[in-house]
Amino acid sequence: MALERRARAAWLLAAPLIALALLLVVLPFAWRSGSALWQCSVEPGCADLLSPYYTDALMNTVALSAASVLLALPLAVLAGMALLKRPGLAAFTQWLANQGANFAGVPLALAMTLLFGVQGLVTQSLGWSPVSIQGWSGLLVAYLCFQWPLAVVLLLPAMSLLDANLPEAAATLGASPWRYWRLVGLPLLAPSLVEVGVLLFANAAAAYATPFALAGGSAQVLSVRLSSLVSGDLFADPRLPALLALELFLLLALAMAVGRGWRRRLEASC
Amino acid sequence: MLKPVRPGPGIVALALLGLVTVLPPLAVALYGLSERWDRSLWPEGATLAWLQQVLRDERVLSAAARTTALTLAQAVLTCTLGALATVSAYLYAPRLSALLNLLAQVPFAIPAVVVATTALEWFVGHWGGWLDARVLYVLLLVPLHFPLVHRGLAAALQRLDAQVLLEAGRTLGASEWRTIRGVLLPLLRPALVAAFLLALSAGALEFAIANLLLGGTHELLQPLMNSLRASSGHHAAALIMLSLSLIGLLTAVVQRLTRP
Repeated sequence: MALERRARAAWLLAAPLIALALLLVVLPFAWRSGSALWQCSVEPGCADLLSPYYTDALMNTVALSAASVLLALPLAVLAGMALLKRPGLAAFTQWLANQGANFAGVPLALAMTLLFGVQGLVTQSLGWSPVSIQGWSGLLVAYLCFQWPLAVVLLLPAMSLLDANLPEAAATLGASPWRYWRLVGLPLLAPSLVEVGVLLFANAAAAYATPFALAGGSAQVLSVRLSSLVSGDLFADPRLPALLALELFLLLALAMAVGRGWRRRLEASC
Repeated sequence: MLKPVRPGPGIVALALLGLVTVLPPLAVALYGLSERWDRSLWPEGATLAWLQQVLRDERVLSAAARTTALTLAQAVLTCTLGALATVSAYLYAPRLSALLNLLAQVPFAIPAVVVATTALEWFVGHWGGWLDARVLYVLLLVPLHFPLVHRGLAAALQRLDAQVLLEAGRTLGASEWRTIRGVLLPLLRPALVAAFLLALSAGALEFAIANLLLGGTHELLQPLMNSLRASSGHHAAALIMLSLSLIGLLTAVVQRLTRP
């Protein structure tokens, strides 16, 4: 009886938070997506809304996010391996990586201009700029600047939980450090790698501040296309932003679902 | 003869990570502290003038005051509502815990830019803006920053074995509230403070909703930095340097509080 009363009190205490999440985030989004889909089912021409311009933005978002994960994750593992051998550096590196993960958006856009702009440090040193700050390469370098530190922040706790005696045991048996990581360390770390990979992908696909600050409204990624449709003076068909928002949601939800299934399979096989 | 030692790929990755994390903020700091950086490879003339001008600028000061107020309000609200939900669910309602775990996933599937555009269309467009945009901004950030509170507190409750603590209190004849107030809350204090500081720094760095919903009418620091960047890069750099120093300090405190 007392337990039931306490459970009821717990639901009551959580009610304001649940109400805010449902009323301000979940329900308006669901309603907006549902009504756009319903309108599309009764009015023709919905498919034309998603012109190649917006399909390109989706493909760009996927490619950019995937490329940043594929680069950031192995680099973070390598940095983590080095840190495991130097535990004295771990706390400072984690603080530094936290700063790097936060250094996105407007500050990062300014830094990119100072380094890779026409009069930037790197451009002047080399005599040419290796990246175009408003193009795909600039976006990838910028994403890497916060994705790599974020990967280190997220992976380091999992890496430090690996049994410290395992590398020694492997070395005693004659295995090189690389063989140890390939056959023991990385397979043990695989579920965490999948989880962190999905988080990084979602972080990149949802990024708005960095592409907007770097390339303004012309950035060809889904989040900026979506915001331009809503904040622009010329308000296009209202179904279009709703469909783009739904597209972004489906992309992120799909990534999370695939990641969860993959992680479960890896955990079951461990 | 000694063979030269070649650094392994791990140490090279660590050094590059240092470069990637240090070089961008260093470039911004140098720009904010120099008279000019457009004639040669290196910045010229050290100066604090940009910093002083930024600290005296009315537009910056009012944006800073507004950002501080809204960021504090959302951090207090997120922490209070989030902690009430997470702690009570962990102690008394496992099904509620499952729901909260799901709610903590929501911001990853419905990101800030989607929330901002939906809110613009819904609460400003359809409902004619009866809700003050600043209040709406604070309320929108609560569910978006809830995962920061939930993750840290749930881990701390698990580490403390909170249910066993309550059980021990009951065995000793203490009332439920007395055990929570006298034992559990003091033990949870570092996790609570860390959650508050995390919500605070996430609020200070928030750009999408601040830019799309509040825009130029109630300008916050992040959008202001963006517009300053176009008109005066040195001022933008000085402002970025100031705000990032504060956030760096906050992160150091969070790291110290959450150290296992």
